[in-house]
Amino acid sequence: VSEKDEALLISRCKEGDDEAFSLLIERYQQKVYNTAFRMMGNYHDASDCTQEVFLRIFRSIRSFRGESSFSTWVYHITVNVCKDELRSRSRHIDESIDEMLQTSDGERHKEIAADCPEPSEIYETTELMDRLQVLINELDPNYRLILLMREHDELSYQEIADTLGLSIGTVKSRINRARIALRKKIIADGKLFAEIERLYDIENKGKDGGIGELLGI
Amino acid sequence: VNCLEFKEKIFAYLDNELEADAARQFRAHMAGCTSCREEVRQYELLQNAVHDMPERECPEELSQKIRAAIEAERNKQKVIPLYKKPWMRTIAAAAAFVIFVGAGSVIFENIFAANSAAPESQKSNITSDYDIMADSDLVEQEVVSSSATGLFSTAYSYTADEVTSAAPEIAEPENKKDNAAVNESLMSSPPQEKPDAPTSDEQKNSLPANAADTPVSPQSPSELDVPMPQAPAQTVPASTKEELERAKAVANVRLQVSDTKQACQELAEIAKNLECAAEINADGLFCIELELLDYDAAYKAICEMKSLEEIEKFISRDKIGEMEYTVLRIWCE
Repeated sequence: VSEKDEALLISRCKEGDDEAFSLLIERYQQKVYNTAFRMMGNYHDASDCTQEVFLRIFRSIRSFRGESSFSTWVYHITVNVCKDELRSRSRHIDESIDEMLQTSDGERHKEIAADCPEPSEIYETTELMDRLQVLINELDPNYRLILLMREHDELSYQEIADTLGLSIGTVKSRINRARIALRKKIIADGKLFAEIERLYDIENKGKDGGIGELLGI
Repeated sequence: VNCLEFKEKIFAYLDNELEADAARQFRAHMAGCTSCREEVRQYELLQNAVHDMPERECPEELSQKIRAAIEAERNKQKVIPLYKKPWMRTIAAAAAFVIFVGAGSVIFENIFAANSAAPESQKSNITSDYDIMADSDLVEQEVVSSSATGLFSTAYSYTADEVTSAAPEIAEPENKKDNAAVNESLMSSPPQEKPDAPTSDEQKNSLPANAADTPVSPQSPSELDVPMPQAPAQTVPASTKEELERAKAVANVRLQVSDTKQACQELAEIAKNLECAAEINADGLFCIELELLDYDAAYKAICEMKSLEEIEKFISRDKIGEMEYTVLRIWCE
């Protein structure tokens, strides 16, 4: 999708073009859903948040001024919706942030198990990646999101800091804590590292196609 | 570099943030230390694996739910525009000024939604559709019940441009002059028509120009002045009192009209003078949306109107993404 197309689509949405907004939903629903899933950790909550995100976009698209890219704007709204939801559910995010701030030597490591996907959901697709997802879901939401923003969505520290309203130092610190926590979990899992290793060795050696083929993507 | 120092630098290494010298030392240590090499390897694998986690398909049922929710929102927001002036093309940004009218209470809600990127969306002429608000009792009921709760919590984002014109153009109002005066008195200080020491009743009488010229129902405004709970801790500063009274009077001009069509016309007239869109939304609340040149201009206008130093306490800001609402709420005594 070219930038020009996107700009046109957005301006049509601003004018109240129903069809254009449908197209916009189509274009962004997967991205929003995936971000929400990573933050919320399960299908049900991710669905609710995704729906809320599009409502917010619908209500406020006229105020989008193009100062950031549209997808960054959408990301921002998604994160806010999910954070609101997590916050309203418990004071969890605030508490954990507060606790982190209280320690003098950087942030304290803190893991709280989040909701896991339904068991049926876990094994139906690529098992390895799903097991990884389960472990990621067990991370504290603050760590989970930030790790995925960095490693999966390839956002820069600056972009993450801007989106979450954190300092770069905090972002780095949190990402590193997340990496440490995830590595521990994977080691504790037993076989997972070996399997991941095998996967990437195959890819590196160029046998039988790359990881994409293995994952069926 | 020993193992401890090495471990401290792992993430900087993974993020390519080590200076050339430090990176060289790091690699040297890695080459000779199996356990450190293994650790780095694991982090690298982890990075790769997380990066390659497949995207989930958005479930079809979710897709449908989103569409249904948007459709519901669309219907909810199908506000009925009574009048809308063609937008000025030069408007770089817009600010919305919404007045909710409650019996015995006046609540202003300001929504400043800067909107510099949508000049084209601002050209449409909006016509009106009376059907949706055929039952004026309902409107009044809504207003009364709203005021009974004392406050509104919703900030309305405006969707005037979305409204499709399904109905005849609204009749040209006849009493422009008087409404211009109303406009003046709302918009600027000092206002032209500023009664000395206005009381609530005087105000109601001093502003009926609008109501009097049109076939207003005999309903007394007092009928609408149902007792309402005092809004929490809303001591209105003396300096803003006049403004509030004036606003209340203007509001009452509209509320006196029991005839729906008439109400629409009157709202339209006032809206025209204010260069704004007056609408009755689906919740049955009257509101006026005032478009201003930009956020600062809007803010300034509001401040001027409300005797500056007291304004802050009435304004709260909320931010969603890039959008900033400013909500101004005022309760009359």
